[in-house]
Amino acid sequence: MIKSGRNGSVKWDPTGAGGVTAVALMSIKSFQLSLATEKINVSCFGDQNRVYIPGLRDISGTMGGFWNSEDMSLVEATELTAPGYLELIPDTTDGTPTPYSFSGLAYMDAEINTDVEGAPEMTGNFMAAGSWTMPAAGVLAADGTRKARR
Amino acid sequence: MLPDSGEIDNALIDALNADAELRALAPDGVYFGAAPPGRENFVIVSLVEGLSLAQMGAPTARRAAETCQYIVKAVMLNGADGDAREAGARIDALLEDQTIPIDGYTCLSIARTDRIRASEPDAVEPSTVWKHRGGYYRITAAPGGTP
Repeated sequence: MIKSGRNGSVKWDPTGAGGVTAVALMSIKSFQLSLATEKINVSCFGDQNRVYIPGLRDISGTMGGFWNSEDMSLVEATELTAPGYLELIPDTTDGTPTPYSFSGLAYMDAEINTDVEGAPEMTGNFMAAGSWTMPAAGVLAADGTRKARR
Repeated sequence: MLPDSGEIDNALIDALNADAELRALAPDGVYFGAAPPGRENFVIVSLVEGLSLAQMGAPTARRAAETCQYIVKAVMLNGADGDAREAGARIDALLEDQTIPIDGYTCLSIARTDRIRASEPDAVEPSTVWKHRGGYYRITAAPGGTP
């Protein structure tokens, strides 16, 4: 079901443990997750067009929000030498018993953007530092079970 | 529970009303939207735009801040141009880079974004001119008490 982004959430645990120890970052208003898979060109003599095979998926992305001095998690994350645990939830009300989410170990970068015309904003970049967990694939059937997409 | 956005309007009017110098320059009062009939030297406050800035969070904590653009201007019929000018300058002194107490909010900033100076012939008596002096002011306020 299509959902509103107002129920989104970004959780972070600097220890990398994740799960219940992950805490929602404050004043975040957007995130973007890229799941682009590298495509390797394997075109050969005689091919009528370029031919590719998939390589590894690159999990990375960005998040944005307002600078909030009550939560320095994003700034502190940039100093970590071991990856933290990042969980991206498109809608906290979507899914039982836990919402559908994308999660795993990640490193973070941060930027602060301050403009005299508006509220200071914070942006962050992340990149995977281990295997990530994705929501179950498929479509939700009327009985609540998840069917493989054909 | 979310605070009432109207408290930002009220706080602005209260701040203007509380100043004796502005009251002396515009003795007919400070009004939101329109002044009652018969007033000749007054201050008008109008909300031009009230933007809510959203953030992710609990259902009652998704409004990160509000950015409200107001027209705040002295409107004078019989006063000389100098009176309107002084009133406009007093409005600017009271608001520019100041913060005001707002119930349920923390006032983050107040800044003028544009200036107003206009002369307007009276609709009924064209030989009479209304003077307008003031500006567009942007108030940014975050829900929650004073930090």
